[in-house]
Amino acid sequence: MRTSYTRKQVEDLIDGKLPFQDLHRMMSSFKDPDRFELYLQILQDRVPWEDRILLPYGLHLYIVQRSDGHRVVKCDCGHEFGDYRENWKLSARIYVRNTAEAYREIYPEMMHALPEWMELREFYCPGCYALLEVEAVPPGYPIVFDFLPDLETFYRDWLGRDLPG
Amino acid sequence: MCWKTPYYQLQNIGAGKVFPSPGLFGGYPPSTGYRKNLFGTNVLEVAGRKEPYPLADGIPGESKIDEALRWERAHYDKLTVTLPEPFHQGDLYLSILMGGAGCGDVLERSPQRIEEDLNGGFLTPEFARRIYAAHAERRNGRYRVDPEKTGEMRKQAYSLRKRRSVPVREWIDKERERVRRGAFIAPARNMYRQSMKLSPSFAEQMGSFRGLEEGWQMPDPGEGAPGEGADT
Repeated sequence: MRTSYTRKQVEDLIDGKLPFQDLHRMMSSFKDPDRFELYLQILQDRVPWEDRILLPYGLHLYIVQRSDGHRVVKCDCGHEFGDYRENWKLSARIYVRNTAEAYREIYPEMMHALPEWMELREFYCPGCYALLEVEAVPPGYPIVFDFLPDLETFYRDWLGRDLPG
Repeated sequence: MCWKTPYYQLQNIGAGKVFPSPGLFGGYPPSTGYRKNLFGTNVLEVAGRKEPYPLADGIPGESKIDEALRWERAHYDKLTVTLPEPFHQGDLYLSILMGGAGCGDVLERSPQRIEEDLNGGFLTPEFARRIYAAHAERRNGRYRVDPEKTGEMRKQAYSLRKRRSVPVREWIDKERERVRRGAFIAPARNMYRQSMKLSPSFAEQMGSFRGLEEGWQMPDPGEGAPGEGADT
């Protein structure tokens, strides 16, 4: 059975406003084949810049096709982090919670990790200071590269078309 | 509570020293647990006098159990490991639900959702302020979050992020010496040593990616140190 949703339904899904029963039905049904396209259109209309979105990359981040041919990670505020094949976090700003005092700003006593066992690394966008990612890792751990998508394969084998650009 | 049995053996394991999971897309991890096993409590006397007794602990600094009860002996720490341990009638074991991972930036949570959390008893006004930079007031028994005052507080929260953060590459430079010396607890050092041995790409991330010299090894914390020997 072929499923399809309206733009309004997908917008509500993105905004967390879809009534639970509708959401549940959507999750239990076959995936609508045009969803990704519709989803991209909605996101594209919401960002204040023109670069074409190739793949959403987080709540604020996108992999975009720039007019000069480069594919970069870009924040919705417009800040660019550089080539998507490199870890965007290396171009972010960081604040590390690694003391009991810093933990207790946001956790009650007894309810946070011990700083010598685990630290919280908060990665901010240098443009808008949105908190983009929080790593919970032992001190000394390498910065985690969360996600390196295979864009060519995704477009060719999953969407059945060529990667733009 | 242990009840109507002369002897009960309880065991449990949870996450206390480390977060049980990370957050998502900029969300914070859920809280950790703690161990609170109370032996020889007066809960039966309190209940016998028909006085209120606690059904939960709440926030540790404002513990409802501490307020209402007394006991002879306790395990109260971050160990969160109860090995087979005898419990007797009237002893208490606190089971902590650590919650789920946060999703998204806390400063973007809507005042309305924060209000729902406060009125549902899932959040205190103090932590609404600390975590979400939200201003909550209680009127006629219900919390209300002021969107204007919250907006002002959030401006300050963003500027605090700006002031106390540094570029990631600067931070990596600063961390290099600490990594070289292996200034970490023994279980972490052993974990790094073993992971570097198992995975060349992890070893590269630990060492040369940070600008440490070729062939650098995480210093050995010594024989018998915690976490040692898992790969031998």
